Amino acid sequence: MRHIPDEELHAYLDQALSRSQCVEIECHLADCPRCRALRDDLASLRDRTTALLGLVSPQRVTVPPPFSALRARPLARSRWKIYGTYAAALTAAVLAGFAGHSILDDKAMTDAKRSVSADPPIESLVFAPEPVPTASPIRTQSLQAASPAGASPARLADDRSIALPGRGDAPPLDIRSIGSELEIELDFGGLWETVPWEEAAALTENLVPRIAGLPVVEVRVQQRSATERPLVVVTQQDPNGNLVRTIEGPVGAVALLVTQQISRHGPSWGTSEPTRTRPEYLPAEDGSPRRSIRVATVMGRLAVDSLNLLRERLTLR
Amino acid sequence: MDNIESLYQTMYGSVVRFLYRKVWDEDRAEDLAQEVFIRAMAHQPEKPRAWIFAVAANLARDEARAAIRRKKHLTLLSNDPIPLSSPSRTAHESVERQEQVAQVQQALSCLSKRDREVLLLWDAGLSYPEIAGQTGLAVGAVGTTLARARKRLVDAHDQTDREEQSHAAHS
Repeated sequence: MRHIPDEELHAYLDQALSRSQCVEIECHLADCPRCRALRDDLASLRDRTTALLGLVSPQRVTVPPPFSALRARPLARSRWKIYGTYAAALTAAVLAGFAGHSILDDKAMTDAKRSVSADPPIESLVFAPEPVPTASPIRTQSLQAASPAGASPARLADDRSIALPGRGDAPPLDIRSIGSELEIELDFGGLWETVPWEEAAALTENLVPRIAGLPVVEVRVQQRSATERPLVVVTQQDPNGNLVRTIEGPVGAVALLVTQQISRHGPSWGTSEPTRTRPEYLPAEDGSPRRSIRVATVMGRLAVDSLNLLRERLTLR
Repeated sequence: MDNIESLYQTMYGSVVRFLYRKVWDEDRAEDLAQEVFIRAMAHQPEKPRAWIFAVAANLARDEARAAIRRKKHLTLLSNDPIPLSSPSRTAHESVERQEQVAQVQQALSCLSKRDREVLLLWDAGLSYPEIAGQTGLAVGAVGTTLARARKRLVDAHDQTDREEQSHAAHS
């Protein structure tokens, strides 16, 4: 008597055989105790596999977002969702910056060139053991006021020997600046509020982004709605005096802000790759929670590699 | 041609589950699943079920590469919030479950790439011909591959379980 091979019984149990094949197998099973025993073993193996795979399933109930919302989203945006939205905006902004640079040689550009040539272009700094955080109290005066239009950019620090914090046995970081003079205009659109560190911590549920070891110059928040955490911009200063800004918020808002900044400051403004921060669950119209993806990114007149290294040092208090 | 919207309603959970077992991040799995369906709407594939899982597998592969490059996958996992809908568990239950999940992950990693892919596609609800179409196997070979994958998964899991128990007994 020909017995049924394992794989055929698997296919039988998976209902992957034709009706005639099933009939053939069932006739054989009726007369063959050995194949019946094998079928039972394989059914048990199949059930165990299903149970094991069930253990590695998402824990929350998966509810698809409304299809209409999916349909309303253009493909290009969906392809670039999260990082891509950001990258597209960034690319467009950089291109616009280049175009502006080649077409217009206005005063701002002249100032920018002069400021770049005024200092040595590249400096290195090394992360040293953890210092006392200087996050609080912060300076809350407007940086815009400190750098009035037309005035040469202010320098906040001349001491280039300030040590940055390390993390355990992390390797030293080589931070390279593109330009060295400060551009300290904070010309973000919208209603922004400069707040003390502790207030920012309260508003953001203790999620104010900070690069460990760099003194915090200013924290600005934009409360977009009563139910979600605000958009946050934390400005810090590296030992060479460059301002570094960490922007944290909903991915769309961060992308927009980055685009605006690069459009205004030109291509010398670098931006790190974004990193995801804690998402939020906001009530949707139908009452079900909707997940809002949030990211943080670091901006400054530094090489992108340096900004990415700084991003690795981000802590969310 | 299947309607993408009806497929979206019926298959979304399966696609998220399939992706989750590749990227091990619930949020990311949902993001990728939504992207898959948006692409399906734009592309209108002739065999949408198989197409959806093929694209999902590609996206998961890209995601894995990106995760390795950025070396932040674990960070994302550890930063994830407690899911809203998860039932509250005692600390003991939670630890126990984490151990069980880790054991299954370990067992899955013992499978060959092809065996794992076929097993996950089958668990996602694809038929043998659909699995064959996606993996390049003959339809007849799908049963053989599945038989091997199931046995290896269970064997690898049991072995890990024995090792854990032995380790616990010694310590």
